[in-house]
Amino acid sequence: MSRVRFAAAATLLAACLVGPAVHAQDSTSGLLVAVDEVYLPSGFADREATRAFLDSTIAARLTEAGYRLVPPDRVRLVWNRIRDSVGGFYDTYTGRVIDEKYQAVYRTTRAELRDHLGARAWLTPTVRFRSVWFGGGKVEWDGVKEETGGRGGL
Amino acid sequence: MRRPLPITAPATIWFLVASLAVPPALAQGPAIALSPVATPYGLSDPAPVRAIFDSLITVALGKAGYRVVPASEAGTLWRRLVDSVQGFYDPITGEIVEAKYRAVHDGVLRQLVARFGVQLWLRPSIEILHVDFEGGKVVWDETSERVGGSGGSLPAFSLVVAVEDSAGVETASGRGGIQLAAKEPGKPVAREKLFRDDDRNRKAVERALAPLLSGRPRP
Repeated sequence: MSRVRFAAAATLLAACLVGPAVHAQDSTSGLLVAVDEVYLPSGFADREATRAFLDSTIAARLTEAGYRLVPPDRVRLVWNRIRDSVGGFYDTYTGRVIDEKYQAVYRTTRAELRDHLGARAWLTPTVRFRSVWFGGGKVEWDGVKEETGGRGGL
Repeated sequence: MRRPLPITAPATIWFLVASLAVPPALAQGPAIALSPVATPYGLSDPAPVRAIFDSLITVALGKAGYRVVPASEAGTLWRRLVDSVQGFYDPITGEIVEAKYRAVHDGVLRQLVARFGVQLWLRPSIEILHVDFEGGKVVWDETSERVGGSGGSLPAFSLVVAVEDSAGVETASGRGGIQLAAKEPGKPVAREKLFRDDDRNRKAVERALAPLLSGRPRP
């Protein structure tokens, strides 16, 4: 019977969501990308340092690849202004997101990034925890591998 | 010939009169207000679940000698005060605004004390936790359940209670495991099979209330 341990893995997700789909094979020379700041789940220690590291790494890789960037602080200004204009999108009675309001903020921000700032893409990086099945003392997820003490499990 | 009244009739009348003559506060032990049971977000049809645990907690506290102020009273007060501050979550961040929350909490407690003379306020909730297990048995909050898998992590329901005194100081808290929310990863137990085991429900209440009832008043 295999011994089982729980493994939680952090995954960095990123999405390009503005206007017509932008694919890696497109010409990237000078393409303007709005880059949002990295979203970190609650409970992350040393949040600011982690966010700064990931933000700068993403910016460096995109710049190396030939993209021009709308930086995270500029994107956040647009988002925050539009969010504040609708009085926020959280329900004050439950603390949960009001989907209609969130979608309105999202769509308006996307339109402003495209129409006023000329961004062809909006990159929204997110760190998420997820559980991963593993065996043989090695956990593999989303293109990386890590050794673990357990022989197998979730 | 008129038949004499059965012996039980005068005794019943005397008992009713005597019951009415004694104020409830003196007839029973310390007063404890119960809040409605909070259920996890996403649990469908939560009303019957609240009713089951409200009832079990009320019975257990009554047996232990407490005068229970029903959950509907604290629930109504809570909703009214939440309305008065238009909710206590921040619309921008989604986080609790501490000053608003305290205003609601303290206001409800004050009114429970003033209206019902409560010495204690019990706030129960059903929570989901993730339990690591090995050897085909999941153990949590003084209960356990057998599963098919040899090990891993599964979600489980527990009843959690917190008790505070009339000054708002927490005096007791307790937990009692109810049942697994999934018997294997990604396959939740069907809603119609949740909270149907009377024995498990009752034991969860007993375990959660044990820290409070260990120093219970005399009836």
